[in-house]
Amino acid sequence: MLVKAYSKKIFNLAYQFTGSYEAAEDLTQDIFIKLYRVLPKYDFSRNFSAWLLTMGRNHLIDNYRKTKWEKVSRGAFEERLLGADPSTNPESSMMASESRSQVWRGLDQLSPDIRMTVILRDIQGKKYEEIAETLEMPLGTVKSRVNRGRLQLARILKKDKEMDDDM
Amino acid sequence: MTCDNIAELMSPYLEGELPSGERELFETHLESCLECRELLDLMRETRTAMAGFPEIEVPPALLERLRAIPDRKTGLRAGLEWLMRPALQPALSAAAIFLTLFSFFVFNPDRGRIQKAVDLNFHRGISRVERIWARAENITQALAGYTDDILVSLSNLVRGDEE
Repeated sequence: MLVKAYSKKIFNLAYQFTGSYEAAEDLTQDIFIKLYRVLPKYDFSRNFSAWLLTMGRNHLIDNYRKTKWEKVSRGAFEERLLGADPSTNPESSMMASESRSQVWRGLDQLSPDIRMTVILRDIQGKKYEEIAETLEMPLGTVKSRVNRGRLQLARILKKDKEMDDDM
Repeated sequence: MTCDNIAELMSPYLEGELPSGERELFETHLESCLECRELLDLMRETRTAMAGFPEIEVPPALLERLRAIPDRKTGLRAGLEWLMRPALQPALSAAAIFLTLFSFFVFNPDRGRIQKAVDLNFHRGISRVERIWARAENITQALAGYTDDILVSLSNLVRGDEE
């Protein structure tokens, strides 16, 4: 039941955070092993989904700091996202794919904390309050991190576009 | 408002969270600042791009692995279960008896005397075995002598019959 309800959420979070399909598989498994180990200690007054997401987020960031995934290229896995584009207009589809591809790569350049905040807000569409609960930080900090992350990504996009124009 | 202030307010502006007074100041700055306008457009594009990342399905092999986790035994638990197998019970009982006797010997205050008695009995046992061995050798030699005598007698008997 837990697997059915939460595996997709955790797997997608791990994939969006690492950019690596294989790393996301391993990390999802690690998070579930940890979940079953600490489940007896779960405090029923807490929101389970937020509790699990907090655990997942902590594991992903800790693991990132230990292993540093910068060496893993997101490029190799972009096709999975671009291939799933539902748009029917080929031109707009191509442009959207290009900016998605640039933003996807740009996520690698964000610090782990800012990357996690931006993923939760802009990819997973969570409310600021939920993110603050998950990340256990003040609402104002979450909002300022999201803004900083978006600004960084916008600047990366700008640089990429300028490079494309020069070519 | 400076460009830095504008950058800080971009997310609240895009999400409609700016109070009307600040919103007007923000928009006034945008009208005169091309760089901030471009940055805002890029931020919009970034958000749209991220909203377009689809959710991906969990690979079936991973789902199977995740479902198997509650049945998985940890190394320690698996080791304990292996040790508690019924087939190992006689060996474990023997080990328990040996350890009890051994602990009785190790922690006994008369340990020295017990050790001496064990040594004495051990040496007595060895000398008894040596004596039995020597006697057995004598018997073997005597039997070999009898065998030779019997063979000589038999050959004489056969020769006498022929003559």
